[in-house]
Amino acid sequence: MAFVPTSDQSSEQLRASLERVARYRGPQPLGPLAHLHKEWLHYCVAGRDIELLLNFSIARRARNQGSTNVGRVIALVRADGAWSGGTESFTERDIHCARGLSQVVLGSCSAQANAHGLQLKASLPQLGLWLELMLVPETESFVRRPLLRAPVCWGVVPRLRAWGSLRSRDAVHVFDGDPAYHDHNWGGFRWGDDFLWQWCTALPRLDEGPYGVVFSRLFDRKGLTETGRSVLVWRAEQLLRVFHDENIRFSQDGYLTQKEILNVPSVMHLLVPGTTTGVPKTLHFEARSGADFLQGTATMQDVARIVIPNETDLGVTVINECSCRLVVQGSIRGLTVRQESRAIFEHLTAPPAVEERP
Amino acid sequence: MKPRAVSFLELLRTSLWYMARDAPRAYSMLLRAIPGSVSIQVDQEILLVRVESGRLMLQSGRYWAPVSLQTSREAILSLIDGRLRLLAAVKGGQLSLYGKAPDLIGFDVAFRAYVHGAVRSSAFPELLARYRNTGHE
Repeated sequence: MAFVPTSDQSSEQLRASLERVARYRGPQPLGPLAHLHKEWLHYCVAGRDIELLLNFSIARRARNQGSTNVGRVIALVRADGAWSGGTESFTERDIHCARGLSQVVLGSCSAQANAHGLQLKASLPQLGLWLELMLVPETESFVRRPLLRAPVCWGVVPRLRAWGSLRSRDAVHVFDGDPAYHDHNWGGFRWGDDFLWQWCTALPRLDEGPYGVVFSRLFDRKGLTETGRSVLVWRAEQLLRVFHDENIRFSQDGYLTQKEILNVPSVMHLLVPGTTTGVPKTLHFEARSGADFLQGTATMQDVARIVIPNETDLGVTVINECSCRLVVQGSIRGLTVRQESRAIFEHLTAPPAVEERP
Repeated sequence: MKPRAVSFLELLRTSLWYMARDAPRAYSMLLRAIPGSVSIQVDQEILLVRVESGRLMLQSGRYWAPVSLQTSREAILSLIDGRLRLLAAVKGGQLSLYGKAPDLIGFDVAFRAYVHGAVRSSAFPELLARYRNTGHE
């Protein structure tokens, strides 16, 4: 099925809603945290036999007496239960973006919101990866600032459909209206600051149900104190329900282990050796408020790690990206909810810094 | 144009210079943790790393040191690219490390500090590309 753009009123509204999420924010001029500004565009696509995570990021980094933009594209591909991918970096001269515009260009990679949806292009020869995708929104967006109690603002479009193709090494994968997700994050903070998060999005096919489900939790850096929770549920195009903090309970069983774990960048396995992840094997939640309730279980399958050097100490922040199954059931606004689908779960961990080791 | 190839000694010396500038915290940890001196052999290249006047100094040649390391350029690049794990390198004989336990523990901390410094140094990708002599990373 080829991508056919539509132009009905509903689609117009969804694209306008998408535009609110997609536009580049950039650091606040003269803002106190401008020198720490970080911004990233995150995309997940679940094809028939493949999952793709694509992340475009731009961050301010101190250099000499001032600061400069550093860009990075991370691409993770999961096929047959195995992850591959990596990252490519870009300097200021290869970064093109402007506050308020819905286009970010990093070298030969670009993300742009246009009249049809989100157009993604990436040419990453060092990773052996090329892609061209059109993501068309199916739900309205949601923008929150800041994300829970982290210094990060967050805009999300939980359900889109993806058309296009991806070439990874010698394999070509075609996307033909497959489920996709997009979020956009921005704020001024240091990696290593006092927060960690968990986050999950369902990636349902049309025949698996009409719900978009995203949940997130925020912790202190030790992961011992939970400082915020949310569960968001969309039905068709509309945001149906938002559950907060004390209305949600989480529990977990076991830990995910894996014989070999892909680390991005590859050299980071020297700083995060071993195959223990700290990622729960199964995570349950129960959200209840008034007559509405939703229960969910995310069952992890496998994981790849993005490892980021801290700016606060000689430690790292590990972003565990997990493929999982998410089952939700409940009742919201008189509607019986039941849906099972693939999902992506993200779990941040903070191994002890070099200085903290005995 | 291909970048000029560099020896391991040159790679290490230049990367330490940039590390002191770009990642002083990592450099300082490296200085504190390194067990006096370390003898490193990469293929046929032999050098000594030692602390002198609060800086790391490098010199060519074979000298006794509390810790000695033997490896190859191929193993170093495989470790950087994630094709080879550290434990597998030791078990497979691609990397050998000799010394008393306390010195080896110190070396382990110094090694991690070096990697932390390398990933925080904006100069490292180009230096590494020169070590590979295959173009920019």
